[in-house]
Amino acid sequence: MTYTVFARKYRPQTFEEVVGQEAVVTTLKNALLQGRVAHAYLFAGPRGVGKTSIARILAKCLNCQKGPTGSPCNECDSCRCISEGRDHMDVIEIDGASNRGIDEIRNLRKNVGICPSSSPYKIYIIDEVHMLTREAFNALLKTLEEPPSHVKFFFATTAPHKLPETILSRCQRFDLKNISLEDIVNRLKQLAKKEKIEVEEEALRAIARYAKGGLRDSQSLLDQLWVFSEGKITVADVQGLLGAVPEEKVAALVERLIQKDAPGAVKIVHETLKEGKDWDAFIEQILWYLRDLLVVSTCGYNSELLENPWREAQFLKAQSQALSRETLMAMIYMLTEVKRRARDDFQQRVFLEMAVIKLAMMDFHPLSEILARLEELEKKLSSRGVVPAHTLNCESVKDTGDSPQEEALIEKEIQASPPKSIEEAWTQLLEKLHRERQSTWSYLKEGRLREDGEGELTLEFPKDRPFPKKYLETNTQERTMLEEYLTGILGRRPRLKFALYERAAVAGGEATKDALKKEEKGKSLAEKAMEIFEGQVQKKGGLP
Amino acid sequence: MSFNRILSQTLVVGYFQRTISRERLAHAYLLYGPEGVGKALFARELAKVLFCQKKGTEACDLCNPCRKVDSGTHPDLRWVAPLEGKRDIGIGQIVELETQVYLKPLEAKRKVFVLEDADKMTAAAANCLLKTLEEPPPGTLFLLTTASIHSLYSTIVSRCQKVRFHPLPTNVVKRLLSERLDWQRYKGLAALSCGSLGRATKLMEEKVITHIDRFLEIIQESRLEDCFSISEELMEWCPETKGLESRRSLLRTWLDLLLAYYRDMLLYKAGSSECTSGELELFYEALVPSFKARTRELSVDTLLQILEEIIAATEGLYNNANLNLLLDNLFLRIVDYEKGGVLHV
Repeated sequence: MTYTVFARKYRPQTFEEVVGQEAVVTTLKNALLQGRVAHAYLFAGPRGVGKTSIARILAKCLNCQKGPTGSPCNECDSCRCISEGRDHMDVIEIDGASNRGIDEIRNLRKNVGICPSSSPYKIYIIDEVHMLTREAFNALLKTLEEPPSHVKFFFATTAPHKLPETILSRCQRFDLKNISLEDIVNRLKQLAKKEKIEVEEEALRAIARYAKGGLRDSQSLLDQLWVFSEGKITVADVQGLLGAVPEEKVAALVERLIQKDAPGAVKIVHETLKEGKDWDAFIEQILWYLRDLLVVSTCGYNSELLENPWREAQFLKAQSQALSRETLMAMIYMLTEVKRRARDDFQQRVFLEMAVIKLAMMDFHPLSEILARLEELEKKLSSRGVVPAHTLNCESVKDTGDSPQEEALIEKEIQASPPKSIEEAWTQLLEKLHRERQSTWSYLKEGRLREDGEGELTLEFPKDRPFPKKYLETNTQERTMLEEYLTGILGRRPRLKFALYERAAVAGGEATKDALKKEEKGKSLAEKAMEIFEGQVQKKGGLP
Repeated sequence: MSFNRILSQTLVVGYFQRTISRERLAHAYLLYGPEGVGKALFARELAKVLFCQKKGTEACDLCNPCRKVDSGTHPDLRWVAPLEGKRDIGIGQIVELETQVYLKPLEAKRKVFVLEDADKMTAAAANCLLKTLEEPPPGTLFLLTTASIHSLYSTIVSRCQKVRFHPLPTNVVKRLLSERLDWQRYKGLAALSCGSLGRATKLMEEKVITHIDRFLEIIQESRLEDCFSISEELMEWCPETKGLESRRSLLRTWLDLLLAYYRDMLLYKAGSSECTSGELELFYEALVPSFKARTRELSVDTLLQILEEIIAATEGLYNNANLNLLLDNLFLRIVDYEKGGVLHV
């Protein structure tokens, strides 16, 4: 009385019926024929590609009364038990997600040693194996590595990365891939024939596209459509059930964007909303359309590469010419963001409206065009004798003497003429540090150097700035570095001491401060600037 | 009578009536669509039709099984939803459900299991359900409902027949709300609900509207400095004692209303030359007269930037930002953009 959905009714019962997993099927069949079936297999892959089905078929092959064979008879008790999902004494299918604890695995281990009752092998199929707990996995390790000769383990999972390495290395692993569009369409065709369903080829393709590589998804959809539609199933039926938008609408929306007609584009968006369409599907369709435009503008019109067989090839070509590749990519990016960020229908709506307005208002200039215009501009400028800003900049940098040759020259000069007084040495040291070690220079510039006879040098800092002294006294690395610099300048190794001194100006109190302020006021802006930036006047004169 | 309670889902109702009359009911359906459009209600009605003694495509509402479903005492209808005070459906609930699945029905010919808000299942719970969901014993019907199909595992989705519930048409929401609210001011509320009655009711609750009104007043009269008093008011309105989740949801609703306001201005600015305000589907139709003067000073770019700020603030809500600072920052930025963007030049 109860109805069985297509996905269950047409679950493959032999290897020949498995769709789109040729490599896996061939390997397993050969293993069976040569009697080289391993004791543990792992089937991994996305939903609805045949993991559990393959595991069951393999179990059938091994335990078939006429077996082990590459193609089970599907008639003997053992085969029928498995096909019909009845309890089989020796093929134990475990839901790994519901029986995930260590106790369940301990139980399994207890029974592993018992011989199969009526078949050659005792087979454990653990589905959704990724949900076992860590302890459960570890409890399984020893048994999994060296089970009794009559025991086989088949694991199936959608998330192999969740399995511990130790489990993975003990299994032969098969990665099942998504099923191709063609394969899905072919399988659905067979199915429709058997069930006497009339269905358009295009509708099948639409179903297959929506299923995204999952055969079960496509079968469920066909199942639903059969009830949903009266008579022959058409593309419109598929779109109706999925809440998808007809392609003309999508093309019209893109056309509005090209024409920079924001109100028109918003109108189209609103129309689709009123028809109760699925926002998500709508955005996805726009994305696919843009993707096809991108393909057309890159590879020319080649229907094999296109996601959709758009009916208006001419229109598509024209649109792909109107939009540069950069623009298309920017559009795709913005719409993907809408999809990613929206949390609910309201946000989806507002975000899409925003994106549409943004896209319609944006000025699309390909990068190459902007570059070309820049170059032209540069040419015009140089022909008039004006030097572009960036060349000017480069030269002025050279002027400051930062090039390695000049630095070497300065170095030589310093070494050639040892400084006369200790003050001169100090200025030289500061200059050098300013160039090479800004951080050290920044705190040293506060201090002064004095010679105490006997070659002992005292580095003094103002009393209100005691930090550098403390820092140098504690940090040996910094001190050694400083000594080395001084050695380079003085030509001998100095002995360094550190001290604090009272600043005269501060001692003077308010009166001196006022005097200082007055002095500041008296200076011109240029003088102040020179003081701050430690600059000097190179050339005087008006602007050219 | 029964399916009449389901408003504006003729497609879905028709689909199931055909399915029942052709005896092609699958074992698992995923009912998805926006919040508050009648998914759970539909699940209950469907169970009623299946249990009803009349065995038609409509429930009689009179027989014993129908009444039992209505009063929630039918032994073959199991309802699974997050437990009181919990956020998700735990593995314990699913394990219990599984033991029920393998028991024979008590009164009816089948057992119906409804998982309300199936996306709230924990990872363990969802995985636990997989095998049972794919191949339950004959006579089992699973009805999963969800408002966000994307947060469900694809392994769950792929095992169900998907049934999409449409957003309710705006006029239906209007009709449903008109009994409860003064319509002149909040015509936009129905539109703002995006066809979800649940959302519309949420917007009406908790004085969200009053607070947004105050803010819009301040913005329109460009007493921009007063914005910050609003932030204090909002903080009083959703105090810490309310718990983080409800504070978030309150502020989220408030920010959505603000988003709607600037979205209206954006559409008005971009489209008013060619479309009537009706065609633009504005949320705040009552405010249209003020838009003209307001949008004169604000460029499309500025409006887009303000919208981005509001969106960023909404995202901040869920990223554990300090709510107080979040609002202050948002207002500071909005005020700044409104004044011509001194901070952002």
